[in-house]
Amino acid sequence: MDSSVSRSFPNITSENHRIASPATSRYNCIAWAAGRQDRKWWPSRSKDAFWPPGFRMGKGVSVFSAAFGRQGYVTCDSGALVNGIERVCVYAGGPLAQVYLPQETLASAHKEASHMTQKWKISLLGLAVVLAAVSCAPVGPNAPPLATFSVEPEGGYAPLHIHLDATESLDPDGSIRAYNWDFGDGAPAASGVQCVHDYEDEGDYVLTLAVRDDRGTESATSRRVTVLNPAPVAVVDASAWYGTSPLAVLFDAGASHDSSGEIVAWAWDFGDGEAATGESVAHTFTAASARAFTVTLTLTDDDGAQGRASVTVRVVGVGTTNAPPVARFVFVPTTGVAPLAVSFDAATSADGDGRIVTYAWTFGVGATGGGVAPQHTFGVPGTYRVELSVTDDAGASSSVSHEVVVSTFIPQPPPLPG
Amino acid sequence: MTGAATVAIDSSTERYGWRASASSSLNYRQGAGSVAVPSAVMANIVLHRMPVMIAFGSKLREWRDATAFVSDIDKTQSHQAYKSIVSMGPEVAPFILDDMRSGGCGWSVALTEVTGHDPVPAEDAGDCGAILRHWLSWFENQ
Repeated sequence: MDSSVSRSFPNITSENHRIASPATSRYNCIAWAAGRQDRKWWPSRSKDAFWPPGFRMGKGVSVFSAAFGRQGYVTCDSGALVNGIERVCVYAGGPLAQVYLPQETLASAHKEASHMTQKWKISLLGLAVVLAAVSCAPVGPNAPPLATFSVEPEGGYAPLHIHLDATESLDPDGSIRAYNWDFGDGAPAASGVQCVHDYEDEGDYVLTLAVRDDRGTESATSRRVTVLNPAPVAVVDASAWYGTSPLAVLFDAGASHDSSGEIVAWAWDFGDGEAATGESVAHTFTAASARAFTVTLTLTDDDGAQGRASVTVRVVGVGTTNAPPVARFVFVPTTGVAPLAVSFDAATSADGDGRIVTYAWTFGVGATGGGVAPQHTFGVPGTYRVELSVTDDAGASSSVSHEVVVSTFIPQPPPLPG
Repeated sequence: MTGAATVAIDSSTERYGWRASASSSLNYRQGAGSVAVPSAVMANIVLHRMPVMIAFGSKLREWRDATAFVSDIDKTQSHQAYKSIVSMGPEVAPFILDDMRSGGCGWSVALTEVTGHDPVPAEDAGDCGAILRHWLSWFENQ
């Protein structure tokens, strides 16, 4: 409950009242009772309120009774309920009418009146608690109900399940008796203040709520609900995910699915410039060396939506001739006295159709090494044959060797005379 | 364009601050057209208008809370918060008009007090929409 309502009406509870229209400062209860909602009424000289020209101003009950008389109201003969009669009760301070029509009686009378097309309108002047006058008039023109509703969700993918709620609809001078829903998709209309509905197919649907009040007047409002087509889900299965070239693979998209319809087209891109169509296709991959192929499946459903999936097929061996690698290396220093530390570098070695996977070194009798750039120290003078053997990813190998000369003595030049 | 905002300045309505406009609440006009306003001028506007805006907002909430369910228009307009708003003088007028554009009612007496004029004809008394139109027209013609 709005805090301002409970603060202003301490005895109000959620059970004994209902907010029937949005808060507004455009009119007040006197204007409403007089059947006007376009301005405030009050017997004042302020330009912020209207009072029928020529009618007395002041705060007495008779002032209000006279003004309501201008609207066609007359003083009631009695407090009895009469079908088709609208009553305006004007309260003012004083003890007189406290026994005339107690609040409880008014409450029950109003409740009963709603079933008799009879209305009571009650205006409170200040803090008054006492009925001072009753004016009666035939029930005036019926204000139409206001149809409004919420929809959750407002859109989404098919099939879309929505929940509708029209509890915010209202009738300013009565109550709403019927709610009728037209979903805009050809489905049968539904009734009730709340309901659910399923949209099976994509589209823009105009959802309409029509309400009818207790006097038979109807009004309606519509909202658009957008239902989208979900993309199909692509699932690729393959008879092989890797193998040596040539590699024959059978692809199958049978596990793919579309939640809102059916798949009508399958398009395959094998990643090697080749393409095919169909739910199941065969393709052979060839490669001179190991290679990965990205295979993409594009699905199209009966509404034009597309889904994609990609997989990788690897050709891991080669069924054709393999070019052997080329072994090369350099070293520094190329000669020196023992012990001689030499650095070797085989980075210039290469494999034209693959890559080198191993480097094997021999540094003379009994000494070996590995890696692209090893170091070795020759401790004993002599001539050493250093050999490098490289092996590529297809298993082919080649080698190269160089000699390293390690000396025992370098003759010193004789000292210069003088 | 210089400064942080483009506003329009009208020297004839300078004392009312931002000039009333049916299309915008932030028009500040000079002659018939808009001009670029240096940052210093904007700062001056902010410094002088902001306190009034804040005070108005505070009193407006107080007044609404106290009179939301009071039909007696004389009683609402004799409320202390309403009187405080009126005492803010001509500079509160644009803020009152902003509230009227938002659906607020009951300001004709206040506007008459701060401007010394009453452009609302008797036949439109109590009609908030008509009252707003009359006041906007009056401000435009000043």
